[in-house]
Amino acid sequence: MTESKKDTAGLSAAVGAGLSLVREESRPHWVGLALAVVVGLVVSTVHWLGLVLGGALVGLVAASLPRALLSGLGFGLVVLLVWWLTLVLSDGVGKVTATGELAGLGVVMALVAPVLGSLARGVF
Amino acid sequence: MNREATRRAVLGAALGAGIAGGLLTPASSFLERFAPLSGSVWGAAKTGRQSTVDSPHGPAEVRYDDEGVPQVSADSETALYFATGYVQATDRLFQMELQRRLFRGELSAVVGDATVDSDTFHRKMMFAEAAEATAEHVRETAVGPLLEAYADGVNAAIENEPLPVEFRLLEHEPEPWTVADSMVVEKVIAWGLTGSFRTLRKALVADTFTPEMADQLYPDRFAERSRIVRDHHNPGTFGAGLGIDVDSTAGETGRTVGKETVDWLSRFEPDPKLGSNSWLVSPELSGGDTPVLSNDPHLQLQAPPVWYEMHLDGPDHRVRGVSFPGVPFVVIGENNGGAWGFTNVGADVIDFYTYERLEDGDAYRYGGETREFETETQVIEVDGGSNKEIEVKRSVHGPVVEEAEQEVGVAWTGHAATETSLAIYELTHSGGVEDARRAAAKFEAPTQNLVYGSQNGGRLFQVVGRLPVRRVDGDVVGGNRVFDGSAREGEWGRFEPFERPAAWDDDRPPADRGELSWVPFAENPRVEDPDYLATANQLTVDDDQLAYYLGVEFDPGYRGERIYELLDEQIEAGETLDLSVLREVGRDTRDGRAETLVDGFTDGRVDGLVEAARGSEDNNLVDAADTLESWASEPAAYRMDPDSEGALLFDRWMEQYREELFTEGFEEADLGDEYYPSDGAIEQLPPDSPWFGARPRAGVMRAALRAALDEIDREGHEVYGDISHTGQIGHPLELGFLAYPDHPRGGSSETVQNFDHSAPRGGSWEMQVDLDGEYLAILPGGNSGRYFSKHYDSQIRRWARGEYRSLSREIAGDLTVEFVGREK
Repeated sequence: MTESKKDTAGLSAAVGAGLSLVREESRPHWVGLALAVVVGLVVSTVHWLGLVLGGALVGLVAASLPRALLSGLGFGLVVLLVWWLTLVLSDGVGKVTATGELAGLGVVMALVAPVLGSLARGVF
Repeated sequence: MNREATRRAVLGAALGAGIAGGLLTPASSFLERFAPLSGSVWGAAKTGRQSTVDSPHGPAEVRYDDEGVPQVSADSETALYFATGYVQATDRLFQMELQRRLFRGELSAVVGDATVDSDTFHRKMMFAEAAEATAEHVRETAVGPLLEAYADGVNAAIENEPLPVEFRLLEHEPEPWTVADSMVVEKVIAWGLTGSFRTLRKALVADTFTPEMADQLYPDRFAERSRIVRDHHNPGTFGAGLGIDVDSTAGETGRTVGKETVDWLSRFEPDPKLGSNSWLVSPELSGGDTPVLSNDPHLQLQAPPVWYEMHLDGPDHRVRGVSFPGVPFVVIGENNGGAWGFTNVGADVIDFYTYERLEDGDAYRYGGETREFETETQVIEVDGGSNKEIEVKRSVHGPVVEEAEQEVGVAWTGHAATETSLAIYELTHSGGVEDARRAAAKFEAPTQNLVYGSQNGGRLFQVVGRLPVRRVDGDVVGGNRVFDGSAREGEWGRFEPFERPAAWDDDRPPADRGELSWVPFAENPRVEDPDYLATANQLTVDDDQLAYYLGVEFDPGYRGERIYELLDEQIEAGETLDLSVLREVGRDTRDGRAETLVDGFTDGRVDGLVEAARGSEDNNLVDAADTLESWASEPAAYRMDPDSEGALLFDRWMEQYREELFTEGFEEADLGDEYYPSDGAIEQLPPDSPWFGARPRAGVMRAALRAALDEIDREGHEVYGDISHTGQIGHPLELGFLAYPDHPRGGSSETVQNFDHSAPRGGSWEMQVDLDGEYLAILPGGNSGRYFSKHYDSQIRRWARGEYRSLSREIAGDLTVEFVGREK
């Protein structure tokens, strides 16, 4: 086995161990989940891929794929909550709601993209 | 591959496909715009703006008052207009972008192939070339540096401020603003108020039917109603003795322009019903020390409004009023010296020429010569479609529009390099009647009725705008005909489109100018210091008091008649015409059409709708007659009020009456509703008019009433406010959320309080100024064009209710934007 292959195997093992830890141990799980939400939200403010990333991260710390999907949906709801709060602060809730289908499109994106991302739990 | 690996592969593929789909398919555009938190469209919801802005023109301050009106102050004019450009672009950038693209023929590059025809028309009419020529000319005048500073301010806002939601929806970014773009806006306004293809339509209708039928449809004059200038104004005869007396017996000389061409041109014609009210009352009659002035332009109603309100305080003037977004100067308003307003004249400043084509249409005969049409190939860029190549063509007269292989040359005063922006600027600096008159002389297009009242009591009514004189075989003729361009008939002297006409700067007395090709400005209709005077687009002055040809497209005069009736009543009763009275005049909703159409002429010449309905055995029609009769009586008295059942019935009946009269005949001749006449012409159709066909007038009226009752029943309407409301006022993008909310509003196209719900069109800046008292005004919407601003629609409810705002003459509000930097 070459050095680089050894390093990759080592990293893979470490990630695997880390994932097992956040999936199985309560405290690491919640810390991991919180971090995943924060990272997902921050990236979501600059690009829509943040919604997928957030869904993927909260999915990866979930104990199972069904739980990951639920976590992805939950992340989507958090995104909607944060979006609503930012609109409250800028006094734009009513105006955004009045856009009707366009706002609806945003809601659908907030829920679908993170669930899509949470499929990553089934891969890793 | 085991089952687990398969599952992972499937899920991985689904994830990858989802991301790839989001990045690489059209879904990407939607995600970029509408994703929560990052979507560009939602970024427009942040309504904050830069608090400090670098200005290359020196310091200035901007405060916004409680209605979102910018209060701009600066110690230098260039700094003032840099800041003005900045605030206009911050609040109205999309509207400015749309207007310049529309008139430059560049809309399709943003919105796609739906506007290719519109772009073709606007390019062929060469509005952009007219704007460029005007920009080049005014650059050398006092307003040149100010227009440059304004453009710099617009561009600074484009760079610093978040783009409005419309740009984000269309994924479009504006290019820098130029002085010529401001001149495009001037041409937009001028075309909207003086562009007309009526001459071509009337000739075609005369050919298709008979000249008499065309005359009934498009009468040159409406009888029996007040002119603007009345006998008590002692007008004399304008233009007498100058050799410009019109020969009313001269016949047409050019050919009738083909239907395809007229149809195509009519599609892009400005709304012929645009109008306005204004009045001017002396201090003696108003009971104060200064005049009272009102102005209420009835323009297209849209979100945001066509006007932008601003309050400017410069080194040597303070002015508050409204401008068109894209124009730096207050167009209608008040300064420390006085107040002024404009209404449209209806003057004829556009002519049409046909040609004898030579050499397969590339050339034409011009007198004894052969001239080639100047042509330029232009490419219309089309977003998401194939670009279109067009030929833009011109003759000695102006742009040549061509459809079905027939050229029509168009001469229009707006195609010249005009000084109107200089006139507006000088008005904002004026200190009295003399200043206003000097400024008015430079207001070359469009033709307008200027009313001006000064702080020292002086008053002025003045028709502004250049009026061409046409000749055929040496005789002066009207412009209501198509001229033979090849025979050089009907030319405006040495008028060169896209140039500055030398005759406009000729300071010699008219008698020394030789054969006049323009009416000398001093001969434009005017009244000095009238006790009271009102304008509402009706005939300016009786024909026997005007030596020359002014036009044939005046308003039927219902509003003008009604305003004078209300003012006369007050004066006869010895009452003062103060603001409390005049604001009621401004809110009058009595519809003059109904008086004769519903009740018939009082002299019994013609029965009205009520009699016609009573002549029916249909109980529904008899009931409708009761409703109309009740509406015709006091207190309703033909008022188009939102809670009125009679007003609803009349409005719908009028629409159906038009259809009953013209649909069949026009369909047979393949003419569309753009050929329909005004309601004034409909009202005065004689009972034996061929337009009634085989049916008697009363029969047509009854048929229309049945149709109106059916429509009202089908739609479930109960009162006029169900159809006459502000929800009809939409946004050019036609997105529902950008339209205004529903609030019932009274008025019609023919009432003093003006609101034509079907257009929609109406009071676009309702202003009443007591120079010694209150300054009242209201906008139909809000001052901000930003959908997410609280000022987007903050005035619409009050406008619908007929309320006014009281405007401060002090610079007020918290400091919002500070412009810093040294003047270069």
